[in-house]
Amino acid sequence: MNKNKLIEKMIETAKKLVAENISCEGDRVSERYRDGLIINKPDVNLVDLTAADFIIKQRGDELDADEALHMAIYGYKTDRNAIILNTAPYCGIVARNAKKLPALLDDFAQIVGLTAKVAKTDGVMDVLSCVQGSRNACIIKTGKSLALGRTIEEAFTGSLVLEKGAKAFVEATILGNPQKIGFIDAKIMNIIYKKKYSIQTQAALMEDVKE
Amino acid sequence: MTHEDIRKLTIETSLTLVKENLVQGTWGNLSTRIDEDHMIVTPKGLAYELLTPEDLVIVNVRTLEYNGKHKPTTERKIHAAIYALRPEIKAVIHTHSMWCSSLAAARIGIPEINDEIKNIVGGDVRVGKYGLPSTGSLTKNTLAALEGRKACLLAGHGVVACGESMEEALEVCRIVERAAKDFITSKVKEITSDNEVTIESFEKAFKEKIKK
Repeated sequence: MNKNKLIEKMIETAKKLVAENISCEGDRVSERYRDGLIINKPDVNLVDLTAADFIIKQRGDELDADEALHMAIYGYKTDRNAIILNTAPYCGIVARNAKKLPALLDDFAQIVGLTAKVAKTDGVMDVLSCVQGSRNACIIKTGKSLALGRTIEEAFTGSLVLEKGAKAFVEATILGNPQKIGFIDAKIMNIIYKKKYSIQTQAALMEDVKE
Repeated sequence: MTHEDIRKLTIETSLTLVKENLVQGTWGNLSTRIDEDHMIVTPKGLAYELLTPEDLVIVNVRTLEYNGKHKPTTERKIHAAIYALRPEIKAVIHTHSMWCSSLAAARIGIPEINDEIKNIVGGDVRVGKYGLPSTGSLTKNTLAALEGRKACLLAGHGVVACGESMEEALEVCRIVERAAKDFITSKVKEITSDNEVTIESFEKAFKEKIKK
């Protein structure tokens, strides 16, 4: 992978997270790189990130808790190449008050799946258990949201859909009528998105960051 | 208006939708009628910021045959069916805007809460029954909910707005999104008694509801 291109895309994504109001200081974005990952330093505001604020971590390096979580996810989900760990207001409400976020909207069912689970802690095992199988996203009790993707663009879409799904769930509950997408409908949409609708776009985006 | 003008206006409107946060990413789609049997629609899966006039696709509203370098939006059936049924309609916009999506998730319509909803949209905004995206049942349910109106919600999905011009369709999008926001925040106020609604008010109202 082209390191500079990966960093350029992560900077662009970080700015989009800020523009969408789904970030705060300490949020982390990473991309798989060689035997490890490239990740932003946690002490720089996302909107101010430059190429100098990214570090490369390989297996065996000393890692902080977020880096260890990202590294473990790349080890476990070998077909995922990008991770966003961010802070979004409605996901925060779900994190503090619910055990899972059900799909009430089609785009959530397509991209995230039938539900997004809430991990009890930000520990590696708790989070990994919430992104098993085809799951692409989860919320963490601490208030953070996690989205994975084949590319950073897909992870960003996951972050957006997760927050929009959380807003819809919170507000539909307030209105007294949260209606889940049916199990079979959600499965069909999730499979079509992964196997058909997104294949071409994701392949083109992955090609774009090759060396 | 020439086809070229229509293509340019469609792109300008799509960028306005992005700027006003009425669409995100590649979600949503727009179309304009060009004659009795044809419409110009946005293509499938291309980001609005990257669209050029040549990317738009001409589709026959009766046969759904299309002509262009890209495939048309997967929701072309809804656009085509509206033009086929409603001769006065010249533009259709489908978005997944945030506040309308919450109502679509609750499958609750927008009551006639202000003059804009009454006079411009044509009355309360109904919710069409659920149908899987791109299917005939979603199209059928949308047409039913849209009868006599210029907007409807699609259960679990988003919103469709239309107008006698692209400018009017865009205005309808804005009106229903504002009304959806007002409707939801008024419910939060009712539950929390907060004068000013903040994100904390939403959490307070949510807790109150899940406690019951």
